Amino acid sequence: MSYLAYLTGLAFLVWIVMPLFKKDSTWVSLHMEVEELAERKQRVYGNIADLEFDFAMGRLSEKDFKTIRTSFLSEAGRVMEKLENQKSSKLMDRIQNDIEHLGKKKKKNKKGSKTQTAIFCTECGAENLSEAKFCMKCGKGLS
Amino acid sequence: MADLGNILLFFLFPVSVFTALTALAAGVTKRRGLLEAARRGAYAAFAVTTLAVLALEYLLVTSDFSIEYVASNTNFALPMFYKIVALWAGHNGSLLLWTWIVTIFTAIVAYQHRHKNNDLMPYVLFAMASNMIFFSILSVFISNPFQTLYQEFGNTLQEFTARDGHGLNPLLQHPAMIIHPPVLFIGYVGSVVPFAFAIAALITGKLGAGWIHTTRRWALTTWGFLAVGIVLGGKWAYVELGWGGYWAWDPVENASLLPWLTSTAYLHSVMIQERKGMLKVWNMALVIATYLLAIFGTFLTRSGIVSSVHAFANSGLGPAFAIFLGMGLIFSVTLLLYRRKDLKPDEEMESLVSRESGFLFNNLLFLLATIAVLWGTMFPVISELFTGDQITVGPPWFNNIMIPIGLALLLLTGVGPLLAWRHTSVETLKRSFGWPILGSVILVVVLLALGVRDGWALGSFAISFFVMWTIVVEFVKGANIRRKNSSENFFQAMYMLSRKNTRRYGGYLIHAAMVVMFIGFTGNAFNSETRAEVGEGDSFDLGPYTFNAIKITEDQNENYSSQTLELEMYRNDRLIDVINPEKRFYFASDQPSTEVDIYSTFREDIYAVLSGMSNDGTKVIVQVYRNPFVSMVWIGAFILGIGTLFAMLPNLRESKGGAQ
Repeated sequence: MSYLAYLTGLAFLVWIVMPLFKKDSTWVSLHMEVEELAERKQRVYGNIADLEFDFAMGRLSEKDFKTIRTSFLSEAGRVMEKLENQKSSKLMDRIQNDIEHLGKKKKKNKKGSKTQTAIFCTECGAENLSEAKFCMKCGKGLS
Repeated sequence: MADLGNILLFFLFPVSVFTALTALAAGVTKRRGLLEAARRGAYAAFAVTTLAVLALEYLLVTSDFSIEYVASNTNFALPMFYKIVALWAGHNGSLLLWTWIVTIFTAIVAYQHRHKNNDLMPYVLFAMASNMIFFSILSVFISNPFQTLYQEFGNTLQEFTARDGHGLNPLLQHPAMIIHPPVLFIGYVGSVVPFAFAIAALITGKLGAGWIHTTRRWALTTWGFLAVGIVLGGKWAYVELGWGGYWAWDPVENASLLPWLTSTAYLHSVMIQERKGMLKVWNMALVIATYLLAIFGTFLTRSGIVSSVHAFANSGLGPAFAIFLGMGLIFSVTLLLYRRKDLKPDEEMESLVSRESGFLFNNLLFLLATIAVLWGTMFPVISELFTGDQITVGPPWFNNIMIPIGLALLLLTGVGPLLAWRHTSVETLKRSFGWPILGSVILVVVLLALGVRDGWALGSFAISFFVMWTIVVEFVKGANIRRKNSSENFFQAMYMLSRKNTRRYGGYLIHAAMVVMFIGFTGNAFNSETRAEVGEGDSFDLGPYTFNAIKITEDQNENYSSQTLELEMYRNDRLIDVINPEKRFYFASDQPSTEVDIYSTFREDIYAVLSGMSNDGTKVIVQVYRNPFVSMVWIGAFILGIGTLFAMLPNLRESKGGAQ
């Protein structure tokens, strides 16, 4: 009985240190700038969603809503432009892809392919981001 | 079995050191093999500790009184249930539980991130393994639960087996025992995960919101466990200690409140970082403070520097904890200072009337609360340093400071969510706040007419009403807007609305829970009590209630002897309930214990304690408390748990063709 215990312990020990003796590879750190841009993009999208929600709930005046929205849109534009530049390099593209799919492998199939296109408001015809819930021009709900 | 336990525990130390070193090396060299070895080290630490815990359980269950821990915390007559949970009844065992939870969390984190976050993981594992090293040193060398009993025979020490154990402390013989310590410990230990990620972010310089997203669920889980653990502790004190209340600003209670205060502040301020890229240093500091305060709480209860009802007196761990705490503090502050230039805000504050300034104010209040509680808790130590005497500040001191802070925070839970990010115009404020303020004023007038004169209580009820109103309006308004643009009915719309932003609406639920709990706290302003010496047939009054003492019975089993008073409770000549407060005397531990009986409704608790015999021995002394709204505290805590779970659900995503 005790031999069995010792043997199990020993096998366990070997299993722990084994990776140290394997032929080894190293990982490359993700490019910081792309990561930062992706984060900024996410932030600006989140901000726009919040702004739309706040406006719909009547928490800010139409004037404020429009001014702030404009500043968000121009920031979104700047970020997207920079991201596009980064993407032109093939390597960067791959890394960007890696970032976006980090840890999301399983969910991917469920969602299906999702394209980032603009949608148009049925009320006033203004162009909106595909994630928008309310029109940025007239505030009408988007479907 | 004790030998096996000892060997297993002894292995934890080298395994933890191995994990820490390989993790550190992996961080420097970026070699996959090293990281994999560190990961396996974390799994091994978990396996070894789990087996050690099982070994101790075996000794407890089989009543092996050659082991000091088993002999001091159990006895033969103890029910099996309490033998099992005696794992965390004593000092050494609960430290093993701490260690075990650290290894569990380390293993979970290692497994969760086995394919991702390669840059952060080495340092995350390093930080967590450092904790394992510390706790393994404590468990093996300073407070080993597998220590055998020794007795002096002449001049030599010899092992011996006790005939029976001392038994479990009567105060701990309560069903809450099974749940309160582990829940609180999970809350404490959980703070190590966000801390480890923050440290890793500081070391690697990857200071973006990545580490925050990764640890969001951990931070929230920890927070929820801490909150529920604190309230469970209060519930336990309420039904077991027999002084009629649930919170006494005892050092140990405060120790659990401190990390909760900082982590609540963090959960709010982190939103400013996510939306505006501000407060990066502050958020790091809050995560670090939460972890250090959790360790500090453990230090406080185990070092014996502050006397408390449930502190483990002078266990000799003080210096070890002080060194570990000091090292942690110096290490994290140095890292923070080193990176402070990279943690500059991306944006500036735009307006004083905005969501972000609301959050800032909230953080300021939480900081004040933390400092106040810390100061009050440590005052005996500080005063001893300067005057030589331990001066303890009592509950009135804490209440004077914490009631205004608490009410201000409660008010913010109503105001904050109604402010828009960046800028809120005065017009919209008037629209949002007009009706709820009017409602609160009317409530105050009604309460005044009903004879309520306590200023704090009036304020608390008014604010509670205001906050509840704004929360309900948030749900209703959101659902209505959604309903207009979809085919859903009101309830579907409300469900979909909250499922699409679980964090926001889970947060509102938690705010509502806080309102309910504050109503419970406010009940304290209306407490009343009476004390009576009664024999069989005697009666006495408390408020509208009349109590008749029917019978005094005595009983005995192998664990304890008891005396029970049967008390009929009448209101307006109608029998409402028969309550049976009891006094027990436990044989093994040679200690008395009171078993209160509580008649509980939404409106109030009638709480009866049998304090003892009168001087002439013919009558019993019974103390009856009338505590309004106490059940609101427990109900609030339950809602808080639900809200936390809800906030952790992933957001529901809708297909573009569906309802918007």
